[in-house]
Amino acid sequence: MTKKNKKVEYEVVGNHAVHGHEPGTTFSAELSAEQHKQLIDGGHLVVSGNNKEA
Amino acid sequence: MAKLIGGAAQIVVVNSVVLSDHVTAATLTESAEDVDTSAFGDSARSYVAGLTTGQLNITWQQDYAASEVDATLTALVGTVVPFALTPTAASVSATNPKYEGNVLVTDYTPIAAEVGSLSSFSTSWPVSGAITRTVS
Repeated sequence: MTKKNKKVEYEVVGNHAVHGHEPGTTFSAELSAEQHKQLIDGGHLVVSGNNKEA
Repeated sequence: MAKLIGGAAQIVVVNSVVLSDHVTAATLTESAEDVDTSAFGDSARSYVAGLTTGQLNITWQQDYAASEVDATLTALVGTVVPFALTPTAASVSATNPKYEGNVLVTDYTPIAAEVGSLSSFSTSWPVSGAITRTVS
């Protein structure tokens, strides 16, 4: 069963573009829980804005 | 139609992260199984296409810094992640198509060292599902 994802604001903090967004920029996306964790653990994204509790 | 110098500016995206600057070779192949439909009385074999198979092979330059190759790939082993390849960094178009799909990350070599050589390694991942080609 697929859990519904919610839109979260992310900042690209690594050295590479993520989902088409360059380092230093922010974007909102509904990533899967797995990809959310992979990209944050990999040092590519941090949760930003009003979603920091996510 | 212009011919292309390999590696001019190929874009390699794994799990939505552009990692081209640590890739020295990338090969995407797609093939279809040949299912034999020959029967008694035929004078030559005949076939129909069976399931298609894709394979994504990448040669990486290892980098253990934050958000680089090791940090990106180490958590992906055993998972299915999206990939995308385009021949050049130009906009996707009829002459710069984007191929994308999902791969099962079946292998990763975190340590590959040889005296006097750049640390590099190759991966070979099966495509899970269909490969799509877009031109816009």
